[in-house]
Amino acid sequence: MDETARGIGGIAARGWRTLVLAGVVVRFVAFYLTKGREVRLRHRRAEQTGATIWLDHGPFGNEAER
Amino acid sequence: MKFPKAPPAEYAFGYRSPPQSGNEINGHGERERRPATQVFHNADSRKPIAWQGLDDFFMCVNPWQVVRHRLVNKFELRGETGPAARRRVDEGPEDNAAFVKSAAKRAGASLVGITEVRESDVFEGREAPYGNAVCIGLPMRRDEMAHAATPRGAAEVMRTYKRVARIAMRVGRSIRRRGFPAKAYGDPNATDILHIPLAVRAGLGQLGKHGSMISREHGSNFRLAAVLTDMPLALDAPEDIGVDDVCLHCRRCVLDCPPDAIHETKQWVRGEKRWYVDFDKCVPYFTKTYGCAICIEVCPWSEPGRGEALSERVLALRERSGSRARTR
Repeated sequence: MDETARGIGGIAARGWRTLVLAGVVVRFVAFYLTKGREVRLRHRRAEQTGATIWLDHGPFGNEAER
Repeated sequence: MKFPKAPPAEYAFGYRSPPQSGNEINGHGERERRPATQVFHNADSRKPIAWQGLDDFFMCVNPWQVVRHRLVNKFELRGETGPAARRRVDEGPEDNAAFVKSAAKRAGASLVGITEVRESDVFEGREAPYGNAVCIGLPMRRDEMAHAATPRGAAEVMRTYKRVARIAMRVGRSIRRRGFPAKAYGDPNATDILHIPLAVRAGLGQLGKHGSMISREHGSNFRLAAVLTDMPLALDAPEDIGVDDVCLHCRRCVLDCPPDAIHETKQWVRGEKRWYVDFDKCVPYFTKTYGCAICIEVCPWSEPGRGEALSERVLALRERSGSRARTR
């Protein structure tokens, strides 16, 4: 898929990229409102209690520890 | 300008076993030249980077007022490239450069410069599609940036990235209308190219002690984008505005950096002696404060109207003392 191409091929490539980016944005919004929100809440709680969120395996799913 | 009190460098997140030091990845202390490697702001979600956990955490903790600009920017970047016109209009490097600069200014750019793309300007494993770079700078609103290290300041940073990316895309379109390929780079996250070395060589300013660029017009209070193209263009030369003379003696960013991440002297980084910020100290604070930006806002060069006078004064002083730019 060459977005710099003229003609049908280029139009299709650019249309595909628009769709992919729209998908990325929608997926990120969904992620931000679910898993992201969970991380933000956990971070806020950890800041108040002096606990730590360990990031060795990423920020998701692990509870903050004191 | 008064800045709010910065939050302390204490974190409710961390690593039990920290990944490879970001300074090592960055090549701190290395005297051999080599390409830069991405450390933070991963541009390729299929290949996790060493600090992926912190990068993901950063993405989650940013408030919506910041994230929304990033999302609009991401979607708009679908126009970063496109087909070039069939008929090529080549007026020669000088006139082409004048055309590109005027297109950038018309689109709202404040700073524009042109340079060639070198191997050292491209991240390891990435490619630059074209040989010339049009570097574009756009200032941030100073009244908003007075709220650096808060969501309000971070929102202004992302808003400016969004706007400078739009300018780069418009310049790219103007170039393509003249029959030359062009691709705009306006993603605030690291992509293929290193914007700062390109912009320094394009004459937009110089690297400051705080690891960001300093321009005569806006100090460090601006953001960069670029357009890469094959259009033959007259290149600009780097300009010495006296940043090193000031940074050698000024300690404002060093003193005001809450995690104490700014080196007092130039460091060896991938074969070049330059100003350097300790990644391992800076990035956790950067994450906690949604992108921080304290160092670039407290910088004396960033005070509106001060850069021109400062540059004039230090260059005159240097000439009087008959010395060249001093480096340590």
